[in-house]
Amino acid sequence: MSDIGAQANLYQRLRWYADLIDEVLLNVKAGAGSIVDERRKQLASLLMATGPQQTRPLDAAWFGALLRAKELLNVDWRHIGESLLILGLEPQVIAPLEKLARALEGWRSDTANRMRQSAR
Amino acid sequence: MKEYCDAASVQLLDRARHLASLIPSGLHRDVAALDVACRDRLNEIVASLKRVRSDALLSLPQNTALRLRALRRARWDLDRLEYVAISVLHRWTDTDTKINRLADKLAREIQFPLTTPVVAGLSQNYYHTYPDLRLICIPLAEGRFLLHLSDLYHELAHSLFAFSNDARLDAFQLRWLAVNDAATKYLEGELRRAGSGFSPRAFERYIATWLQCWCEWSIEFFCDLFALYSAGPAYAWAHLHLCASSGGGAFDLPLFTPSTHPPDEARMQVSV
Repeated sequence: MSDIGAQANLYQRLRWYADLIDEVLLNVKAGAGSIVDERRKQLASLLMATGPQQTRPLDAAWFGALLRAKELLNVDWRHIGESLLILGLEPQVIAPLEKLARALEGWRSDTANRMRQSAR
Repeated sequence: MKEYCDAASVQLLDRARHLASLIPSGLHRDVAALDVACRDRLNEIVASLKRVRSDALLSLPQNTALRLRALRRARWDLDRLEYVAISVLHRWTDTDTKINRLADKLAREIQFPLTTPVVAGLSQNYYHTYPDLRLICIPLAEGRFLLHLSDLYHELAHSLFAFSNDARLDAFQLRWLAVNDAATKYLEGELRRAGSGFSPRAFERYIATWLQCWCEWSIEFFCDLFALYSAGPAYAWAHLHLCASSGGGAFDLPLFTPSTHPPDEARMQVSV
């Protein structure tokens, strides 16, 4: 596979995670959405699967690799994931989620630019 | 910024509608999967753009950054459809049909567990795959020169990473996860050792770079192995030919900037 294909794969993953986090963030910041919201549950389970464990789904493995690559594994994502699933969300979870959203968006946009350049 | 997002989303909505009209009617069933994927994607993009334009929450001033990010993602998705998938459909030729039928035969022969992706001779950059679009792009003249045909097996393997929750893919994906986890754990240990003060400081940076690379590298290794087990030594020869004729330094390791592909020599070692 040429570099453009690998970048396209990476881009697709980054894009999916970035979209998910932004959607949850939007609702959480507005006090909207609920703990039974499907997207919120999806993000919560990804965050909770970032710690060491024997088995985890493919999505979570990639998500963990993305966090590692951006040196974001020093945050207690498991706790933030759990917080998304309880009523009365702690406002402290918003800041790290925003930081993660910005990091993913920066990476997504870098990857998009690299795809453009390698196609030129 | 609010006015800009309003106007830009309207223009992109127009563009999406126009792109839908560029998908030719009467295409052969060989390409139906790509046709459906394009139309589904266009619908998703249109839904996102409508949200950017009129969602009450997104329109609040404190959510401007979120709104702009949503607009940018929709724009890029639309660009990608236009530059790649819709161009393939718009310029579909008999040569593409022939390549597709050949790819389908190859996939059946190895009992490939998924529907064969569409293969198009529209690549500007050797073989590459867009697994989410179920599309493999190969060079225009590839149908007449079979030396690199075994690379098609490598591309097929990339699709095996694109889907979850399919029991037929579990063995492949779980093996990859195990290898990736083992490599990551090893490199994390090396990183800790390098950070303990007994190694040159540059080592820490190098290992951190390799740690970032491993997820993508291990995917490439697994696709190489899939191709090797499917096509036999022909794949290793094709890889050798590619590296020798158009590769850079076969042993070059990235030290500061992560790469998507492992060094050619390491891939050759895996193949032999």
